[in-house]
Amino acid sequence: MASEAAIKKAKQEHSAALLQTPGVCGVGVEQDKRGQFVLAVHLSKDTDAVRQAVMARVGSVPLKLIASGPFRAF
Amino acid sequence: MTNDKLTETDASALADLYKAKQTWSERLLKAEGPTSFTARGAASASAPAQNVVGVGVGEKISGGQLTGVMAVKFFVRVKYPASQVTKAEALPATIDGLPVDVEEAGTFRAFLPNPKAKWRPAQPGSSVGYREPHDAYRMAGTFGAVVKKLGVLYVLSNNHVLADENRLPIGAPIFQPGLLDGGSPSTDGIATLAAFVPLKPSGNEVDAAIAKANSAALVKKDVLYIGPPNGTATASIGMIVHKFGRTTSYTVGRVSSVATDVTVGYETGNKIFDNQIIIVSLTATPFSRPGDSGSMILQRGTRKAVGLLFAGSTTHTIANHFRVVLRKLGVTLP
Repeated sequence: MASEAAIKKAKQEHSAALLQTPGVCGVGVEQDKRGQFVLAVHLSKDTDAVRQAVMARVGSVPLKLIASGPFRAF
Repeated sequence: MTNDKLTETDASALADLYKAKQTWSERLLKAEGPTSFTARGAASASAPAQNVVGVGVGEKISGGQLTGVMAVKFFVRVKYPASQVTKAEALPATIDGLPVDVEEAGTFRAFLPNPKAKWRPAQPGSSVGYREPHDAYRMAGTFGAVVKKLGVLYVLSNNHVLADENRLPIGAPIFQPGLLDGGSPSTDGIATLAAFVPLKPSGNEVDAAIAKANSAALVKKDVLYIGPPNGTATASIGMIVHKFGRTTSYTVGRVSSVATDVTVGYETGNKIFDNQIIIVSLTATPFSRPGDSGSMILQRGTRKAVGLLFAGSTTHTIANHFRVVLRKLGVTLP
């Protein structure tokens, strides 16, 4: 189980590179259904290739992939 | 009474349902109780005394589909996830073996304001916008808040709602309603662009701008339907929030993150924002859609401003931290 501080550190470490990954539109700190902190990665394209690229970058960091679709100014 | 589907009126079964409805209606719906507060203040609690707004008999809905099963219906302001309701607060799953259904209805009110109408004084939650210099298109966003600096009142919204993504000159007129919603350039100006936080390719914290009100009498700080903000607060994961906006009107959501870096698409290209608030709707309808940009997001119950809505997708809403917006623009809530 990762602490909030650990997930924040992981976000700081991986966010810039992940946001440059095609198909990724967000990287944040969230909690899963059990209340445990996870690195939440929002996908503008939910494909196996994108998921694998994300998982390859973050390694063993607790991860939640969210198919949000692309973000745009409202 | 069983849960078998009723294919025709069963007088005895319906009588049982109406009897149960009467009992629970008398128990939960009291005119002199907390539900008689103005809806804006009383709308946040999951306790039945505050959350139940109606008790009736009707068809049970499951997965968005009518089931044909008649049930005692509890209409609630907000259908909270089971994980957020204590055992003491939970409504019964059955009543003496009778089926029960809980349906989110929001707050029953005689009047739901039209955000696209012309409001005088103009109020947060209503349609506002600029005029494209060549009239190439018409646009509208949302009036977020009345803010002040050195005793002068301003309209607060997003940069892309008031300043056309850095492109409008200071002094450009702002209209309520926005021209897309029928605002007239000759009669509906309420403010002039005063300042904006420049948008850049990366490292953005806010998408915000202010327009100086043409007169103090032209604006009023009360958010349509919600009421005046009660100061500010810092958003936290799990916080229940609400907003009133130009496109989706009144909606309720839950904060799922307060530190998400996002790439957002703009006319002038993608821009990266750091540590934003992410909100998901509490109902099947989206928390926001295009045109809601600029909406102030407040904590439900306290009415403290926590966010300024500026972007999203079909499933998620993104907001700046409201205190950061105020700091960047050097303004305060009146």
